Amino acid sequence: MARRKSKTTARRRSSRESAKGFYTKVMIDVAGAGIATRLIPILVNSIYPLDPTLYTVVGAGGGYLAGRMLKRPLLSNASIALGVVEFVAPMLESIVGGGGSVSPAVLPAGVKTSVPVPIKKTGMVTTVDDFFTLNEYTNSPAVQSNSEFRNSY
Amino acid sequence: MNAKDLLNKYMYPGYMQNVVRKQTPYFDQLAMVTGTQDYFFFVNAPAPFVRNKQLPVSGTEVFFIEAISGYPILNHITTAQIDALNELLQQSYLEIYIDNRLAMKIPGLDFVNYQYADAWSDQVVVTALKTKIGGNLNTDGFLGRKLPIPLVMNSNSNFTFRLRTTGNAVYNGIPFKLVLHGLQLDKLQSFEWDDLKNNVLQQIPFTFYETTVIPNGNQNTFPIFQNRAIADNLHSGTFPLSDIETFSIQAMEVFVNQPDVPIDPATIWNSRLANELFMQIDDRIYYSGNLVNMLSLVAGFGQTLTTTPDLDVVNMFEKRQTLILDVPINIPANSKTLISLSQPAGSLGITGEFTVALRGLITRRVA
Repeated sequence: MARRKSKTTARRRSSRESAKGFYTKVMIDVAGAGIATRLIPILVNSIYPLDPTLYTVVGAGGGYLAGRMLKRPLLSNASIALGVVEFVAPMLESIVGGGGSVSPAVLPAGVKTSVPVPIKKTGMVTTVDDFFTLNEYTNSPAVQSNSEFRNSY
Repeated sequence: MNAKDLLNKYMYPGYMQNVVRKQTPYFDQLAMVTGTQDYFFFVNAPAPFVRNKQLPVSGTEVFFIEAISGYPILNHITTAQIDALNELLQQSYLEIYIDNRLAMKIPGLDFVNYQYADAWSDQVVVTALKTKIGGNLNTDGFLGRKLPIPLVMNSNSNFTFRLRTTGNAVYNGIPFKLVLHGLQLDKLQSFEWDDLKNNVLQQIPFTFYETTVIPNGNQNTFPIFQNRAIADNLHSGTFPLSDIETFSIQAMEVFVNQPDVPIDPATIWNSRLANELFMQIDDRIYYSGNLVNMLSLVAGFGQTLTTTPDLDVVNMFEKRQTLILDVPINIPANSKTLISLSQPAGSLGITGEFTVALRGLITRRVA
């Protein structure tokens, strides 16, 4: 009797964590929630333009539904938690104070490009997009291809 | 929320939310003086028709410099004025420092636009014909230096714009206008644009240029970007690069000017076409070709007609072209780089100068 119990316990422990203490299943679910909360608003916005204030709600809700459909409750819960963080973070930043960059509470950093995405849209404002929150870009040290720099000369 | 409120929500920035993008240039104008070599822009207070901005920008603004152009307000119609213009193009530069680190050093060739015309004169009266505007011509018709990566001006950055010239007397009292073309971003609260984040590498637009005197018409090979000891206004850098930077060449131009004793510019053009530009990096040949698609020339030639009414005529020749590389030529840090320009025997344009300009991006370590 005692031997069977110890085998079962050992099997359960090995399925939950690796020898070094990483909860792989948890990491995958939380990472998936992060990706879902960022990608789902972009996908929905491409079909049906969203009010920027709704991005966080759509991201969290979409992540929750994705978790329900995939039968991964951890993914659902993590999506809600990340949505709350995105909503509360700007307020906390303003309380903690100081200058520094203001992270947009909505769209994510997006693709890293050598030229910032908003700069491409120069000239007179023609779309509502021109007033949306900044898509921050990061200076990328990658070598530019001809298609990227051809219009600069 | 009614339609008006909904639209206004997008049109005006909300706190902690939107940013307004405006395409607006910053311009400043300074009068040049004989013998004065250095001019600093955007340091004086705004004045109507003279300057519209004094740096730094305010805390709620960020300005992206997308292009730079300059313009001396003078119609160049004599060979003496073209000679001064050549000095402005080949022996002058604009230096931009951001937070005490060099961000750009570009020759006048890159960004100075100029007005010029053929001229007829009968003793005293001078008539300018077919006045034109020239400069560094881009594929979209813009005259000036466009930047493949914008320079970001935050309110907390210390910016210096210095124009170094030769102080030629021809430009005494002539206004020089410098324009920064770009996009201004406004928010309701102070903000800065952090383009580096946690990167340790930074990319900046740069032009490697060197101006070399043509001593004679003999067959000769001129090494370019090899001599650190030449005058500061005649070059912007040498190879090999330091160990913390690499350079990607995206476009090239070779510019030839009017000799001290002017000759027919058409002769100079035909002679210089046969020159060859050679690039070797770490023992590999990356470029070897003549100048057909990258040769530029600004020169004037005066003649006195010998038939009545004995007019003096000045013919201007202006052609600008840049070779945009389909595949950029990348120069690694600390690499063995040899760049040279060769001329055959019997070359012309003696006592003039040529400038080789390589335009592209430097990738360098931030700290």
